[in-house]
Amino acid sequence: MSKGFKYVGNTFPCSDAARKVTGDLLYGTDMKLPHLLHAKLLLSSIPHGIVKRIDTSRAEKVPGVIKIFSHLNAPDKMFNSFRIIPGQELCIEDEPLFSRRVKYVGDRVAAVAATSLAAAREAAALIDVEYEELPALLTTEEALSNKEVKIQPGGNLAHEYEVDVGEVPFKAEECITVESETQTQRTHHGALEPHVCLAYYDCSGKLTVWTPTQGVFGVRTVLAEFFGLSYSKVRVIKIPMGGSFGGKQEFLFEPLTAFMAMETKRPVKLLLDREECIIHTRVRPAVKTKIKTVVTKSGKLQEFTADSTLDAGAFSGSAPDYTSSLALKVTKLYRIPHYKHTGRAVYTNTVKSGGARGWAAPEIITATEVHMDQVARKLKMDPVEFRLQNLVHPYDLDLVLNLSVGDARVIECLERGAEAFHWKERYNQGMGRGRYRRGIGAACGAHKNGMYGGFVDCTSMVMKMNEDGSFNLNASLHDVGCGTVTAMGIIAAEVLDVDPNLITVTEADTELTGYDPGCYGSRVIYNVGACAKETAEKLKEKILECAAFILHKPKEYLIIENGSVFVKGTEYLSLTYKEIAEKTLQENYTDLSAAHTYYSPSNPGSYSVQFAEVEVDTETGLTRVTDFLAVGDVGRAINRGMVEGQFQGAVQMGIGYALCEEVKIDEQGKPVNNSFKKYHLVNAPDMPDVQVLLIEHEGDDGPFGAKSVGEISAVPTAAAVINAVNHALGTSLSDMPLTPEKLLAAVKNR
Amino acid sequence: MGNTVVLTPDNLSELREALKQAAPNSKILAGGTDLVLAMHENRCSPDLIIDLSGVKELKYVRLEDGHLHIGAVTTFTQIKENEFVRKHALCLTEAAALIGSNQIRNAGTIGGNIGNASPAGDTIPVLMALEARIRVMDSLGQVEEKDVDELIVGSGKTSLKCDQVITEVIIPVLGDDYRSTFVKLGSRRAVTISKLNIALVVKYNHVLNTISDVRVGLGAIGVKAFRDRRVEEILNGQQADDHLAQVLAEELSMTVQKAIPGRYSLPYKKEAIKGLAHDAWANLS
Ligand SMILES: Cc1cc2nc3c(=O)[nH]c(=O)nc-3n(C[C@H](O)[C@H](O)[C@H](O)COP(=O)(O)OP(=O)(O)OC[C@H]3O[C@@H](n4cnc5c(N)ncnc54)[C@H](O)[C@@H]3O)c2cc1C
Repeated sequence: MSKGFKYVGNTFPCSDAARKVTGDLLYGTDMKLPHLLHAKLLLSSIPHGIVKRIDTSRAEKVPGVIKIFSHLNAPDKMFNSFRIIPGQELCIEDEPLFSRRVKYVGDRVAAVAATSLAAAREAAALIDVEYEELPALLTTEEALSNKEVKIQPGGNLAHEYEVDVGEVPFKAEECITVESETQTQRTHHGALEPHVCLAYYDCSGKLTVWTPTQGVFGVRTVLAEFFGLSYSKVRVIKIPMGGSFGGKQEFLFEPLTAFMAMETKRPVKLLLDREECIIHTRVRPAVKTKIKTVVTKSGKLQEFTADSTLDAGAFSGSAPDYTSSLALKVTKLYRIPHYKHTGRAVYTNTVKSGGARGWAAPEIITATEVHMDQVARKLKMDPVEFRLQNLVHPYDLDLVLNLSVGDARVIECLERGAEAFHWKERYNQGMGRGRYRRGIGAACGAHKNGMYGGFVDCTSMVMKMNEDGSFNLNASLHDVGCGTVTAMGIIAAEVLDVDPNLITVTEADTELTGYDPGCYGSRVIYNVGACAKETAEKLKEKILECAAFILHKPKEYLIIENGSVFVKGTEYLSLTYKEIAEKTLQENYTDLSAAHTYYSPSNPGSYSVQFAEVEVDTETGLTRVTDFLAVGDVGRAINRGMVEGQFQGAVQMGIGYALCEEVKIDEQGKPVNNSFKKYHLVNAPDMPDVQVLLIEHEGDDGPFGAKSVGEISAVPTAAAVINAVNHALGTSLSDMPLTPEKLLAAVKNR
Repeated sequence: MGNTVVLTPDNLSELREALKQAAPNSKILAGGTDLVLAMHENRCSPDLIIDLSGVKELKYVRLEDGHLHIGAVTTFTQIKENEFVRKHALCLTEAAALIGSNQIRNAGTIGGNIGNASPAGDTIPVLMALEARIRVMDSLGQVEEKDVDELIVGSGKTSLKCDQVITEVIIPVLGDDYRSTFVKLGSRRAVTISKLNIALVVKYNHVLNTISDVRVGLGAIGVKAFRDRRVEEILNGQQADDHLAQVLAEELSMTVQKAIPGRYSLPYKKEAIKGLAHDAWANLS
């Protein structure tokens, strides 16, 4: 337990844990509505071509089929699945409901709405599609060099950026130059729950959509603009979500499901299967990054020049924003006198890239941290020592964003982590000579806390006290499974000094809860949590005012303790919350509630430093992560067990990123691993025991000092593992993932 | 899929009756860990399913007249925990323990592993190395015995007629002077389909430190598992030392190169099998 706090810093189970384990919690898959129709997609089997003919005659004969949709009977209109606010920059509307020109294997061609899922599936398989094939550009190299084939009307270059900050320093000392190239791969988010969405358009002209989304207001914007509806006539309700990791961040299926509901005048449910989730939705983009650094012989970074190419897939979506974000991470992590980053997003005839946990940080930080190990090696320096000389200090200025990095404790993370991991002894131990080689690796990572400095970041809540002294916190939360709802309850409980179980916290519903741009961008605990705290404080003031009136004492004499108000120094003169609520309502006709809007004032860095030990079997190429320590600069853990859990889960994802996960696409443009049989996540037997060390300070504006954890936890993992493998083998591998095949080839060629 | 008929015989005579209705598009269902997935993915849509899970008479492991008799519907969990199997056919215990996850081992059956005839099926090279015979029964109750190699004819293909069902696996017990092992290599340690697997059975003479009656079953190389007679010949009668381990590794690598020339997976498999061979060898000693 943290000192001075009653609830904050303890461990509480997620508010819906019991419902989840007993199966009582209903997900989209379980939801039933009267006269519900089930929809099934038909996806393109070719990477690029024109749909010449769609023959639905066989499909229509399947009993239960209500309607079959394709570009033939759907509007030409395009949308952007990433649009959160109207008029958002860099949001090109280039995604149709159905494609006439298909642009990747898995592109949407048609959908069947039927009275049962079985009928919809059967019918979808009976639709005959004739394509006229076009040449497919499957890699960014091909797409950039081929000037004839244009995947989008403007050509294949989706977006470009250049960042150039600081100045080339006068080099008083002799320097070395190091160059590297890292390829990170496409990955699948792997949320256990597949994508699902329900929609109903009632005869009053109101559209209601139930969706496990990360942002109801963004969904509303996209739907209202797409269908020309009033924002007040679109109701979007966030339903329980079985994981997202960014995969459900964009508004992928709401427009389509709503369209089918409007056309059939019946509620429609669209449920994807695993293959569709892998080949059709979004993937973490593949990024190639070349880095060149100039470093003094004593180990001080002078210049950092990077060039990144991101595979956007077949259309724009979030790729411009994601790509530009590649340049926003390194200067949060290192002091670099001159930083230059050029980059681009390129269209290819492959599955669309999209948001993924860490939003560009895992991609660029992996490249950076693999590079840093190469620099240290060239300098013949311990990689930890080298990093310590260059990491940011608290309240440094991030030159790219021109923002303070806040109370950045990455140096402390690295120092304390190295000590706990016995870095020095282990690093110098040697990797062994036999079949099994051991190595250790460390990597640092930086991420943000919300949108301040670039995008809308405000949130509104209402909190009220009921007549029995319990509370309702009305907030637009989108719990993606990491315990957001519980955390908000803990924060409010700490302020009001009541049992968190007495506080019921809502999730988002555009019709009933206040504005919030959505639960992503690592903004939730830092900003939404701060709003919960201030809302509770506002209500606390109101409670004290009412108590002062009832007790005939100045408010200043009163204190709150354990769900009661006391007059300082006189223990007997007290009122319970229940008494205050009852009296206030019945005698003063006043409702005890507080509404509050919070604007984020800052955007400090969150940091994590991670240490991995691996054992590589040089005969089979199989790598095992045998020990792992994740250190997190989280400001303050609100729900300790959940914070640790975020790190443990992130490490599982990061190991997969380093070693095995990849959505592979063959020469015909077909994704080859379209199921969990072929797309391997790291499973329990392959997981090391993950130790978590939390560094807590209160130097920033989050509630009780809390900073983001869900994304930063996943940022340095892959690099730590790769660095450990390179340490074990004496290699400089950076073509991810490091599969047994690649490792064996590297061992042989050494 | 809506019109599938499922028959659920409770005993062998009901099973025979059920088999009378079998046609080319009917399917035997045991644990369902392959079949149900295939049906979900529309790879197969039988109009008649004969469910063996109720036929208790096909779930057993018995030791009789020098042979292990394993009922076709015996699960991997039952096999892996059976003392007779451990004592007399250790490689099968090891294979059963390495199949899938607990859930899969609790449902999946040995008959299903054979019937599925996957090139990567883990018990198949084991049963080959153990020189097992497979007992098959038809709708008239006629019984015949086949080698695994006769029964499995290709990737996913068996020589079973539609009214035939595997009822039993018969394994001649290995004498006390035999040693056996099974090793597999997938892309992770557990719940993984084999990229390579090896079953190794040898008769060990501890006085001379030599091996004989060497049997090598190999899987996941090509369409069907096989006995590597060439390597068996090379090993027979040799001194069981580190050098021989090296020979085994190199020769198996040669086998891989001959079996799948030009295949995309060759560069990896020809190297990795050496490591796996060393693992197998280490398990024997
Ligand atoms: C997650 C997962 C992991 C797996 N891991 C492995 C693994 O590590 N190694 C491995 O080898 N396999 C693995 N498998 C595949 C599968 O579990 C095995 O092949 C298993 O032995 C199948 O047995 P079953 O009883 O479930 O067969 P079913 O699915 O019921 O049947 C499989 C096939 O065999 C036929 N069949 C079944 N019983 C008989 C019989 N008595 N006579 C004639 N035909 C019959 C069926 O008609 C069908 O064609 C895995 C499967 C899953 C889903």
